[in-house]
Amino acid sequence: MTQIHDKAVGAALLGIGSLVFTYYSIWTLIIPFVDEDHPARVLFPPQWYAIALPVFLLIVGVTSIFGFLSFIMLKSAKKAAKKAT
Amino acid sequence: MTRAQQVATTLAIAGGIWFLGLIGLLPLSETVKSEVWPALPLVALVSLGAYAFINIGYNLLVFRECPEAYQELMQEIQEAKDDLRTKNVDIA
Repeated sequence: MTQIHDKAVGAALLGIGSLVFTYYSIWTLIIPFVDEDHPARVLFPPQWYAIALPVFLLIVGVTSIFGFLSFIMLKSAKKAAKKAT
Repeated sequence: MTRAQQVATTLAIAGGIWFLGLIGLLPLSETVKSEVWPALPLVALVSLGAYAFINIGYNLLVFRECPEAYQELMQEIQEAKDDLRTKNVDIA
């Protein structure tokens, strides 16, 4: 049972990775050279979001990582202080 | 030269070239300079993340399970646990 579960997770990761890579590469590297009235432009948001979205996700991700780290360290420090008294 | 130094050098050179392009010292066309070039570090980062996803996903997909080795391993674990218990080691 876990084997099928692993394969499903693997396939999902593979699909998401390929999709994100293809979409983002086209968005940043090809769309700027495409004319404004080309029908394909409809599929992609304005270029501003091509930079804003990853930067925003990066900020959220790094903040949550450091926040989690701080939380863990504070908790363990409090526990050590309690034990010492 | 260690691996870390290698990676750091490559990143520094690439970053330097990118920065030169950013401040206008490289011959870039107008669309490239204003829209494509500033996004290049993000493209690299997103590609790195996507590559990691694809690598892990693909390996998970093609991983061959070996049931006989699993059984053998479980039996060896059981034998080791019993053996250590007789020698007074605390095992769950």
